Amino acid sequence: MSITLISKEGAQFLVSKPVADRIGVVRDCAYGADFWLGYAVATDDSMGITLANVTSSILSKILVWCEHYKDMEPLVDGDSNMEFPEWDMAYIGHDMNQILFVLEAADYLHIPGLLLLACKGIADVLDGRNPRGICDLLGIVMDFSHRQEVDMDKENGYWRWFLHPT
Amino acid sequence: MTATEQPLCPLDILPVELFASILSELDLASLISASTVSSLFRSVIASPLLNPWRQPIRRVLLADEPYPPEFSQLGARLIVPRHNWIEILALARLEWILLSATVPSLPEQMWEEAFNRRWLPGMRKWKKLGNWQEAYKRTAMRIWHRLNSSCTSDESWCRYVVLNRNGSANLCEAYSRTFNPLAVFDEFKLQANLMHLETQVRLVVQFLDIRVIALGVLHHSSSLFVNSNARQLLHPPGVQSWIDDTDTISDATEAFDIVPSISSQRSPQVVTFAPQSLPNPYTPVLLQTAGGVPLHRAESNESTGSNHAPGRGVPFRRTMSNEANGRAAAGNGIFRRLTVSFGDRIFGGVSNDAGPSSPTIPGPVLGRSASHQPVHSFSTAPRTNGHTLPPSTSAPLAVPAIASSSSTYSTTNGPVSPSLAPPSGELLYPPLKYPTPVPEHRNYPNYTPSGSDNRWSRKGTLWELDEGGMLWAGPMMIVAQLVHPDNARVGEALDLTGQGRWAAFTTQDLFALAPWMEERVTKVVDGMGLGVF
Repeated sequence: MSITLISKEGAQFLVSKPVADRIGVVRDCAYGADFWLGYAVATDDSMGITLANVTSSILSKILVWCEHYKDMEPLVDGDSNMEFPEWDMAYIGHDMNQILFVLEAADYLHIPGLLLLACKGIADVLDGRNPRGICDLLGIVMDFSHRQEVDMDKENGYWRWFLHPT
Repeated sequence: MTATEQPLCPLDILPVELFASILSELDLASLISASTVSSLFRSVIASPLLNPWRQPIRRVLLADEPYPPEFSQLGARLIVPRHNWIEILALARLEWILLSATVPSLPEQMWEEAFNRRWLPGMRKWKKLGNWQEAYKRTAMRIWHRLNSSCTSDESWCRYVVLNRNGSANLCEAYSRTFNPLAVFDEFKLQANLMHLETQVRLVVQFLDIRVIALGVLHHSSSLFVNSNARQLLHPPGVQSWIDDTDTISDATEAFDIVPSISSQRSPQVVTFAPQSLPNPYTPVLLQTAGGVPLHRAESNESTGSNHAPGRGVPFRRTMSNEANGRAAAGNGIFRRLTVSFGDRIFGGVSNDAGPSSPTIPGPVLGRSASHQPVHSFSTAPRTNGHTLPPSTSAPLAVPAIASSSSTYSTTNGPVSPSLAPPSGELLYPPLKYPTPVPEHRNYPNYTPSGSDNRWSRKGTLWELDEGGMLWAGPMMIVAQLVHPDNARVGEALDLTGQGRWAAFTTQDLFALAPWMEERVTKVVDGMGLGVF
């Protein structure tokens, strides 16, 4: 059985059931509550599901991930110290724009594993940068009031004093 | 084009939950740094509801490395929500809490919660008067002191529990300084006429500073000395190892042709896919190529090999094995599954190995007063005194491979990724929270698929008798040992020679760890009573 996914631009993607099952929204649309009760629902092969918030390029990228994980469980536990597989990190890359689009789409489509991977991808880009570097990267203007800056200086000074008392 | 070439600020249009999820993937130093970027960053990071600190803190606590320097100063930062300290106080190393951490001022409920999540219920007696903060710090100092010295002045008498084969339990005491559970258990074996059998040691569950150990002997199934309560303690009623579910589902297919989805195993194969080098097979059907031919994705079902695990919704074939045929009505497989699915209570009546539980029997009754019997009165010298028990003693008995026609038996028996753990909604018992076990036992009393939960001798079998066809016989002794988290890894050989490093283990602790035993233990005798049976 296969399901047709329709992107924001109207492009159609024909995906197999194991791949579509990775997408929570599609799974719920295609099978509804009966899926969780264990009944196989006979759906029409020509069934199409419109994903109005996902562009074609992002949907095709997401389907690559779903295809890869159709037979495996992705990492979904952010608490653990488990590292993401090499394939995942190569897949998500370092392009901030694209990762953000994948993140939004994964949230919209309810794909927890991909959502965690996208968060990890963005965190890797931000990791190790000082506040000024993050501002430059994201085009953020520091909007702290004078009082907030004083408070932060005091807090950071307190912390620095703890680490280096001399 | 990368983001560095085209600056943008899309983070402030994201929902704050997603923003907090991104921040929670940072490490502690980067998170502290990010808190000074802008007021949006700071408000999300300081939010007690979004709490992006939780995951970085847990990653630090669960890592085997020394804590980073910024971790010890979290208490001095106002942007760290205070309730994170429950987790820290429950999971951090004692010496770090006592010697390095800057612990902020916390409400009394947080100290109580941290105390209950860290230590056995029997240790609540140390609170006495005073508040929970004092009780927590006093207990932490006592345990740390005992771990680093041979001092037993805090607890001169060490209590332990003995489960008798007549259904009763004895709450015994021994002099802490010379307490040797192997020597004591040898005396119990002598009294029970089981001296010829080898002592088996099992790790029941391990907490951060304490681990609970059971000592017993295994005998053949027709023995008159079989102790059903001992088996019930190690194998909670209705719980099989998680991988056993495959067998159960295999049996279930005899009743239902199609079963709902189950999670497939993570494939151990090495991934060699390079996203940049391979073409994306997912190209829109309506997006025509240059030649006007619509592109379709290759059908993936045919491309997957036969060795792949079945995907979601794929009907399972009937896998009739010899074991399944032989014991179809013996309380395993579909019957146990049905007990789990439709029973009103956890302790379903279908189990054929029910112990001495009876609804007519009243709850635990405290018997006569304790009679102190120091260990030095025993004359039998411990056979393994002064040595670490070899893994063969502490590990389950080796069981010969079962010749089975079922392909489901070929599933992994080794370490399984923690991410493959079944969600808590599928667990038969709620995982123990007070106290909280180490991650290797996080599903306790259910099976934890990390390869370290060795209460089950063999995973993936439908063996009616555990431990290679043998059963626990005679008394079973349950003791609590103080351990340092860095020196006592779950899965390693159990070292029972720690002089003076034994904590009191009472029936209160037993029933907190194994609440199903409360209705199976017919009587609790404080002291030796008329002897151990």
